[in-house]
Amino acid sequence: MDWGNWFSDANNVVFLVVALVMVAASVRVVTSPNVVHSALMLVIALAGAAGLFLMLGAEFVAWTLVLVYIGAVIVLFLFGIMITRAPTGRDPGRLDHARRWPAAVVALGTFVTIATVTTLAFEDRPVSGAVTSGGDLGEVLFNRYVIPFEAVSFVLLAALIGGIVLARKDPER
Amino acid sequence: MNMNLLAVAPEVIVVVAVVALLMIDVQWRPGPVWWAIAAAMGIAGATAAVALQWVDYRGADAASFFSDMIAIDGFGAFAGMVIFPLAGLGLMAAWPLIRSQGGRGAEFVVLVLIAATGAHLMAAAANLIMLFVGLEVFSISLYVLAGFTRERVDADEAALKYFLLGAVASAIFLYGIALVYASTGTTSIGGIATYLRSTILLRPGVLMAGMAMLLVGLAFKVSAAPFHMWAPDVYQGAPGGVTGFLAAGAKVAGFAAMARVLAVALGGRIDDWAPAVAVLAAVSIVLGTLLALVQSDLKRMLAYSSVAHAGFILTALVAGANGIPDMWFYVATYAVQVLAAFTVASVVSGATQGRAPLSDYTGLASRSPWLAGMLGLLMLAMAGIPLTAGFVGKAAVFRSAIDADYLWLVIVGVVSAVAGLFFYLRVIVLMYMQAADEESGHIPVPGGARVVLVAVGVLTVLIGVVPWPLLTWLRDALPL
Repeated sequence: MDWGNWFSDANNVVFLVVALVMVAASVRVVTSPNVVHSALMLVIALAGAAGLFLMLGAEFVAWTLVLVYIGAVIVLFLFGIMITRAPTGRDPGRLDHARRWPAAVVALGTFVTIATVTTLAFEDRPVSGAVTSGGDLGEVLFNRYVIPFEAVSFVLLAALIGGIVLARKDPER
Repeated sequence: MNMNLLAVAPEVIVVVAVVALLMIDVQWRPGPVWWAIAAAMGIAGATAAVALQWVDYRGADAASFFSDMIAIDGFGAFAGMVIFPLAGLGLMAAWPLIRSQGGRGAEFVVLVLIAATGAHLMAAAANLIMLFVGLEVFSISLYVLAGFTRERVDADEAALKYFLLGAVASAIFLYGIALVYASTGTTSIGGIATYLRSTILLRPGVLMAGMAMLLVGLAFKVSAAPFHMWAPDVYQGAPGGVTGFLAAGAKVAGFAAMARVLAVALGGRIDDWAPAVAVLAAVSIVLGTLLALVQSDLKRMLAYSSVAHAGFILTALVAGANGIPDMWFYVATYAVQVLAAFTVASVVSGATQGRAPLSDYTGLASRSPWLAGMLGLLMLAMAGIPLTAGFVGKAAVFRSAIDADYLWLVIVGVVSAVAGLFFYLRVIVLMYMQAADEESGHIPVPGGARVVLVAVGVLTVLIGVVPWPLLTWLRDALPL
């Protein structure tokens, strides 16, 4: 690969910066001794992912990521941490694990395998019939994939009921 | 988009029952009787809908609807005719457990109904995306059901273990879908089959990797060795009343999905996956049988025996589409047997209890001759003694494997089946030939469990003596 050419494309430089920030943030998510810091680092990693989607022209996915993951899921995490009275300060002992090195090796191995296989599998071919814009996505979601889309709501229903069943205290008993 | 409401009728009916049940329960708290009525109506409606599908679309009339997402064919309809009644029997067997849970019982009923919906979606899916969503609907309900009693730590352990390992298996399955898509350009099950028939792949490695991952994901769900590690702990830890449904439902839904993915979507590549399935089958049969021999807990023993049974069922699949009727015969008869066996365990050892030590069953024949007789019959059926459905099922799957030139697998299966007799007969010997403890008295059998046991007992003997009607019938239970 010709690195001079690679760097002269502004897209590639932006990608590199965003990717490096994401990697650094992701590492901090698992190494930070403070749960709240981990959650906030996850915000940075997700924002980077949203940025990458924007660069690919998938603006709907990018904003969904911002709205749903950064806006809702992380806030839910923080609420969860506060409501369950989990320790929010520095707590290296509880968050660390004796088997962190095997875990890191497994994670790295999984990453290398998946990255290699995925790039080999899809090559540089554009995906046939790809939909990126919000309008197209809505069209596909509510026409072709309407049944799976509806069925996903059963998943959420089951998860919701399951969460209540496992977490709630019984009023009658 | 070609719509046909009959295609989604079973799901819609069950979900209407679910939502009605939840709403009524929140508003009026009417108590268990109304839960039973709502569940019965949902299950009866769904069963009627799949029966209608069977009548209209079995055999050559099979078709797929909603942009090729849901198929109506003999295969999906038969799966529904097994799954929905199974959910009904599971609820009946679990009724003491449901009543013991107070207000949470309504949620238990709801989760069983949602699990049944997911299971049928898996069987009727005509697209891998649909299949995956069905798998998740089904699995998430089962994870919660496994940990439904919160008082016991082993139930929590069972649920958490099932959830974490199940999530990994789902992820592997999903990645397999992505790789199959990468090499064929479609997620439609029929589309993949057409593509593979008409195209010579330049780089089959990607498809192979995808195929392997689909197989691993589904092998986990049906607890085939070496992906069976979760089964003993989950079945032992889960509350007794629901274990039967966990085991039976997972087998039916998992094998329905496996048959559709392997025999239909990847049917053109049978020479690539059949050896892998044969090895899985052999390992499951041998490992399941050997480990079942050394168990001292009935539920754990049944879990390992279910690993061995998963192997026997896989034996039918090495024949590809030709083995599907035999696979169905085994799956359907085994599912009701395992449900009934766990029901006996829940009656004897307690519906909310996890453990069922074999010492509970010593001299059961003198205390509760009826229960002992039923459990004995089920053990004989699972061991594959002639004149029970288990024998015909084993004969059917072995015939499939012989037709597909897998003689070695049949030899492994027959030898293991004979070895398996030992642990099934050990339970019978314990019940009939050893004296009971002095203090343990007669065990009352709840009405629901009684119905389940009678129904399964009659079915097992009836199908064992006259299997031909079902075997002929199943020739129409082929996928699209």
